[in-house]
Amino acid sequence: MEQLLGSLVFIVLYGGTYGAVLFIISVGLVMTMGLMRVPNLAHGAFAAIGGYGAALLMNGLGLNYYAAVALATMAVAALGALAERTIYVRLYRIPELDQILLTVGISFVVIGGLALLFGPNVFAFRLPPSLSASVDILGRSFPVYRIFLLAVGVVIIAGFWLVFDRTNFGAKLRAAVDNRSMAQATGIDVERLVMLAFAAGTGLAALGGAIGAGLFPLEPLYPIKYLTIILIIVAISGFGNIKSSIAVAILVGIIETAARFWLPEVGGFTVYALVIGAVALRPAGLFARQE
Amino acid sequence: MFEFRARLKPLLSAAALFAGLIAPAAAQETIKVGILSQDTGPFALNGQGFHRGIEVYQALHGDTIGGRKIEFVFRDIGGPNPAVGKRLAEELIAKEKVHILAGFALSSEALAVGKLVEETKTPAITFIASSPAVLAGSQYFLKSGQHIAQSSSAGAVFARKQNKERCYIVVSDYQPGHDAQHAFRKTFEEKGGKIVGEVRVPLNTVDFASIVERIAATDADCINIFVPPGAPAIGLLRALAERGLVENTFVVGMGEAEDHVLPQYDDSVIGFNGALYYAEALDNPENKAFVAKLQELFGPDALPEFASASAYDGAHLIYQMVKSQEGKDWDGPAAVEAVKGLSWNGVRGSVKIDPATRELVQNIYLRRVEKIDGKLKNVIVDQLEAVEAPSEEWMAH
Repeated sequence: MEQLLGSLVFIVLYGGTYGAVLFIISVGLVMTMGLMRVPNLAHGAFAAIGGYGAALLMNGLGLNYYAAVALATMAVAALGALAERTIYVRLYRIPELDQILLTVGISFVVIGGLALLFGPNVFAFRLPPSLSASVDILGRSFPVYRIFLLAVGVVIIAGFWLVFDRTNFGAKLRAAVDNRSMAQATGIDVERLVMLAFAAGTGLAALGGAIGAGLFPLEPLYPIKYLTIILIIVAISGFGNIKSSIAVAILVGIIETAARFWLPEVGGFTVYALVIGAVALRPAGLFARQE
Repeated sequence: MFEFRARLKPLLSAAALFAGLIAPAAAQETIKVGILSQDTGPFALNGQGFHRGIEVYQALHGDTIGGRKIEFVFRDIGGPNPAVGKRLAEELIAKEKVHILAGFALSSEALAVGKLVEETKTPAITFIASSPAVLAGSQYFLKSGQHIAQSSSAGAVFARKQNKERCYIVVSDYQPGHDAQHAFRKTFEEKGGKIVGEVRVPLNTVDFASIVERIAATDADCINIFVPPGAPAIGLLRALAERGLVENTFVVGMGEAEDHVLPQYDDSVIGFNGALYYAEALDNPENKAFVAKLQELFGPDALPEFASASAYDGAHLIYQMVKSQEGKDWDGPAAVEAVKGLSWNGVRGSVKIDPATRELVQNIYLRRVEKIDGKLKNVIVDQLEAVEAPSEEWMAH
């Protein structure tokens, strides 16, 4: 009994924190896909650029970890805004297949660029000593790093809630997600809204890439390697359904951790069973209104 | 294509005849070696090692041997793609007219070209591909790497020498992982140890916390790992270190933490042991010359690793094969026959080709990661001399 309890504590702690990183990396895509209806398969590429950028700022300029992460996030958000205005803006009216080809293409360009600039190796990313330590939680030693991930996840959730439910910008954004042309008809500048939201989405990807580097090591293939899990979160959440993506990411994190713990050899497949079930039974999103 | 070739044939033979008249045996002057490399994609580090090992060898030993010039032709497979490997091998043999094939980072590539090598009687040297099945693919295969069980079994012997009783095995769920797991388990049990648990983890595993939690729940005093270097190895070692297992147990792997990848790790890797047929710190004249030339050619930060060491020793093997045919018409099968039983001092130390199995008899080193003057480094703490590859029978049961 005590052993089972210990296992459950482990699964909730580690699965929950793993889910928090999944949430941070995926939520930007959930939002932009809802808003723009463009499957941005280059989302992982923005996350990778964020991670590499933060590492470069730390190693090259000697910046402190938190400053480097913040700066990289903002830089990638700006890059995202630029990409939206120059590349993505052309995607809205072309068929889905072309959108996929182009965004996958961007990923490959980034993969090639990263390999060329930084070599094929895993790119070193050192956590500051304050995050490498461990603390005692519920009778076991637990890495501070994972608590930090959880904290950042909570801050982002709070931020979303504030912006979406409490600001005029959020109300406009929700309107644009629900019905773009109606929103436009009421005088909302949807184009500007989309650009800002896309910048925020890519910025969040970069943040996830940077602070998640302790779990998802930075390497040139990063943009494709972690795309599957990101898309799984998006598919189960449903387009634009941010609230549900919180629950979905945590759920996936906990289920994966539990499955890998109890059935290490097949546990990795559980998440695929979950996504098949969710898409078949609740295609609009696990916790979404079904139409 | 056939038509074209048929039409071209008289022309070509006339040209050959003409060339032959001016410079007798000009066609024999150069021996072309086709290298199947991995220059892009997830195994690009191995390809980099191939290029460097060969360049260093040629810089130190020149490009001619036995009256012939050696020319290396590289082809990039660009990922885990045996079909592309086979196509490139065909191209190298048919179009580039290479006399010898070499390279082969992955066993799957070597397995895919086995038939081609056998049919065309082209000698082929695998630098890394370490699956026992490769040599069975053709009698013209030789290797300059290892049999995977040599290092794995040695890891088990080292663990027993350190009086470890109970071991937990973690391997990636693919063929090399299964072979490594089998060899470690069998040797550890033969030496009187007990396996308290073993697990195969999918190659795409990101968060290793669950696996480590299972290990921590046992009373293992030794953990054997075999996962590809890079993200999986870093993730697994970090997770082991978070639970204090790297510090408190004997963690032994293979090539997960060579010197050149250590900058990717944090201090969680300190105390990790690797059992491998090469060690950067080896103090023999061949290795010293190799490392010195490597750093002269590729900068002071260039570090030796098993791929470049294998390519270097493989280049030596190629040179010896060519030398054996000095003054004769090139005969691939005869060159293979000539080096069976060859022994020499490679950068890895003394090494010999077992004439019966074509496997290498070589030393296996136990290397431990330590922090010296603020820098992570592998130091050699133990070694097994003249380790033979196990028999097919041993591997099968």
